Amino acid sequence: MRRIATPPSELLNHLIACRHCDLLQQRQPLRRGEWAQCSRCGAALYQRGDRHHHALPILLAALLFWLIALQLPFLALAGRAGMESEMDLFATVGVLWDQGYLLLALGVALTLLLLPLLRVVGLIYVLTAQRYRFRLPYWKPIWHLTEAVIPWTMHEIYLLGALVAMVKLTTIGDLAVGGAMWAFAAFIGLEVWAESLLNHEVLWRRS
Amino acid sequence: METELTARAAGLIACHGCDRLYVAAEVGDEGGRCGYCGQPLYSRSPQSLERSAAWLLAALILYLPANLYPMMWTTSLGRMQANTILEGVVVLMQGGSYGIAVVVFVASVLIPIFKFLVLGYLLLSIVRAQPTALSERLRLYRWVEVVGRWSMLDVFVVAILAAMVQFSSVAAVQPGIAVDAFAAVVICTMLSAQALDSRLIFDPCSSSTDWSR
Repeated sequence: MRRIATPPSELLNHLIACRHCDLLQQRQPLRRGEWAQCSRCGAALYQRGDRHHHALPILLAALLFWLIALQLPFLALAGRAGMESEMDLFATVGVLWDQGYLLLALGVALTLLLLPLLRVVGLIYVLTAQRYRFRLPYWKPIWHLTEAVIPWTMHEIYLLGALVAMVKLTTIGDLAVGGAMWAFAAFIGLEVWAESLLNHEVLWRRS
Repeated sequence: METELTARAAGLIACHGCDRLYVAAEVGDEGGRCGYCGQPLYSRSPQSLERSAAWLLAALILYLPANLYPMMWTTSLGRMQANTILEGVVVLMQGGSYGIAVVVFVASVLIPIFKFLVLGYLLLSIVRAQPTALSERLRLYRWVEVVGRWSMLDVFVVAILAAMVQFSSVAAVQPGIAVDAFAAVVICTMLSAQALDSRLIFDPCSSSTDWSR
């Protein structure tokens, strides 16, 4: 059981170390629209965080689109000689599972569906917790989980993959884009927007 | 602050969860937890080089079956054809879809090779405590971080094609074994990049760089 480290002194609160190059720098006050950049490697250090509270409604909208995307068809093919097929987002996982690629089906299910959902729901939970003065349980581990999951959410890569697949499919027949495609794109767009407004320091400096 | 000082050289530990700085001497040898966000405190990722190298080696080993075995089986009018990653790119080019062929080639061939070379170079340069090309190496690392996931593209393409084209012997697409191996390569290289603490690039060669912490 590791003990809690001594809380840092006031002086150290004015400093920040770049996460990528470890350069120790002094925090500066920011004006509207500004964000702090590491003076050595240019990585983002911190932002103002005054639009942090906008993220919650955007994330709720994103979640709504995600749920819509799951109900609607994704792609539909009307080929020659009666070759017709239709798929929704689940079918990507289903076809791998049916072909016997169980581990891969699980991997796609995670990266495409479950982890992006976890991130959005986790963020909604933490932001809601913030609104209720952090009285919701487990918000800290949920936050860290939701951050750890980021590199493993590959839903936007899936969308590009769908575009590549569409080009190949048009050689077989007429392709129709389903509502799920647009809803999914909206989910991605809203999520990216919400992430740009989020400022994790707001969580730590007020809790 | 005129001089360029890393937090580690200044005797400080930055919490990876919330960026707060702690005095390393007060945290102690057995480590501690951040009082604000609860995350374990460490100056550098523990066993960063060992873990990164291990994942990279696993990725290299898996790269062989990923390229030698077929990625996709295409059935056309009763005839079954197997395509490896490279063969798939060639087929696209023969079909006239040059743009898409380039996208798939970049995602499935260039990016993985790029990651292997860069991660290997970074690991070696850190072990040899190379004091030069600091910013350049960090930039390479950041590129690997950003670009690495996109190699999963081909896995999704095969899965979507397989989901759409299932018309028994007239036209059918099935995923091949290489899809498993290739997905594993992407995952392993991602884990390798994640395990590598890029701040190690900036630790001066003469200081007490304790690789175990």
